[in-house]
Amino acid sequence: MLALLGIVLAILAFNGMPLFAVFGALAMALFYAEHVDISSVAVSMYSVASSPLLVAIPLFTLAGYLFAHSKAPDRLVKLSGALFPGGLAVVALVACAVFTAFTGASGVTIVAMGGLLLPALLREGYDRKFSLGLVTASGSLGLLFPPSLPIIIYGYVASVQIDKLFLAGILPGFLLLGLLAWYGWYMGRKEGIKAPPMSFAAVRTALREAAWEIPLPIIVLGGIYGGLITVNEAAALTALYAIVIEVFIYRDIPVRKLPEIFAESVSLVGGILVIIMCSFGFVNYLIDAEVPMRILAWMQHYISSKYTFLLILNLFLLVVGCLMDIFSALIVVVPLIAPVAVGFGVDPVHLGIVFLTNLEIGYLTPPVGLNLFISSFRFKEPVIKLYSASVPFLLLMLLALVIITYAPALSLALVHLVR
Amino acid sequence: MNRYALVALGFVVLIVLALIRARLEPRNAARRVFGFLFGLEIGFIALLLASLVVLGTIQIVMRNFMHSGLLWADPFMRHVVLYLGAVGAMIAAARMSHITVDVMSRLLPERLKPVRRWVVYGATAIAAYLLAIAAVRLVIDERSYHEVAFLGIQTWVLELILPFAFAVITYRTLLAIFLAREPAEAGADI
Repeated sequence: MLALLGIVLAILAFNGMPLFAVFGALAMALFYAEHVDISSVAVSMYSVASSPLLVAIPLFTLAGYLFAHSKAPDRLVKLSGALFPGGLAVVALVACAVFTAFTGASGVTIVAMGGLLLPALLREGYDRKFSLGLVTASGSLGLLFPPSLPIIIYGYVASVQIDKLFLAGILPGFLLLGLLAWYGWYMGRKEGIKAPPMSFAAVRTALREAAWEIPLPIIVLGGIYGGLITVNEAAALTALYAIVIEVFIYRDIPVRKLPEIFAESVSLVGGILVIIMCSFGFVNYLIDAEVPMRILAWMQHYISSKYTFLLILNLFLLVVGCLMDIFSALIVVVPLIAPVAVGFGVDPVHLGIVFLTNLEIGYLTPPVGLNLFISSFRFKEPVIKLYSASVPFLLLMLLALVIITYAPALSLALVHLVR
Repeated sequence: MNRYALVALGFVVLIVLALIRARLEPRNAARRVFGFLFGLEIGFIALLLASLVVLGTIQIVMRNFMHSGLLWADPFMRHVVLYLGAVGAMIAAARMSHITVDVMSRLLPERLKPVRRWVVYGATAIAAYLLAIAAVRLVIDERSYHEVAFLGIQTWVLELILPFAFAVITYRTLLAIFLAREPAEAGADI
């Protein structure tokens, strides 16, 4: 009976039933079958109010949407253009990475930055297919840089300190960015595109224009690692800062547009939190049934090496990443896999970075990578064309994944250094 | 009245409300009233967001400069997140922007779309309604414990948002069926 319900719910889910309803229904069915009152599902909903870690989520999301609706993307592109040599492709990647880190990898990057960058790339003479692949790939690049939303959610679900995860993501994030930037530089040279020489006048103008936005990363990261503020307080400060500069100083966002931006950001937050609320009952049930321990025992029967385990984990996560969006994948899969990984001796912080890198790549993997659809929608191109356009980027990211997985030091060096 | 009958009646009431709302759709006066209600919702989230920003900032100042802090600020902020999640989920239901793993519906032929809408959103409405019932039972249970969350406010009072939010989500999902809405074309609607 339960198996049948599971199959029906899976079919409904693949036809567009919201995930919160799928997980909520599963949890209620499981509790009902065990003769536990269904109010247990509601108990886990309320547990959202008992975690201090979630406070950062609505605040960073709000800040991200404010930046996305302001002219911050223009200023960021201009600034990166003035500071980074190597052509517009490289500039686009850097600007998108920064933007994604601050907007939480929810597809906003492609919408806000892509519309700006794609025409500019084409104008400079880059190949159309390459340019499409680039803006699609850069939609999730930067996900490993603080204060990205998926990092916070991983920390919450796996009970790992968020400031450690923030540090751990920096070098792997640069690796991904570096590889793609190299490819962008190489393609630019192949097409014979000349990067304009660096000019101090341009740097000065760009710096002056973005003068109010530049201090933000310094305040946030300096504050957290200087021990002055917690991650939540940093989030409050970022939201306050974003409102003050974008609404009152730059005046990019008229006050009457604020309600719409609030609604937009809160509906994303609600979409994520309601999945957390509804799936916790389900996840707790699986943990009570010792499912992770059984997976561990079963896997240890066949594999003994940590590295073989990581390889299988990567393959599994890539499949998860292309079927599920990053937030629900984190919420449902992490609690089940984290104990298994610890059983194989994987560091929880390193595991987090491996997890997030996989899910970042999942945004790009056909058939259902989210970025592919957002790009297809935004640039009015068939999804099939984006599949092939993003292949070179996908391969480079897979290379980075292998390095990140098998060189834990890349993730852990900064964490050990700061401790 | 039998408990199950009461639960069923609640669902029927939500269906009737959604049907009435769907019938009123073309009228301007009705739109203005519902627009006002939606405005209240947005005002509420603006207030919640502002309270997080202000309290977070006050905490930084108090801890770093006065070496103190507001004891109730932490539980208050955590509950604000619960409320933002609940109201956000209500708004996401109106915009049909809930997170899905929709692989099939893009491949579905046009004539099957209404079938998909009725089956998938019908199941969603039932699931959301049962979640609302689960939350009602939680509130009833907690009422007998008299537990205080912060500033003398009892936990069960704060938990009232859960059944309310899931009931609204149920109603809005039903409304999407009756108005024949698909995710891409849905706007904010109460």
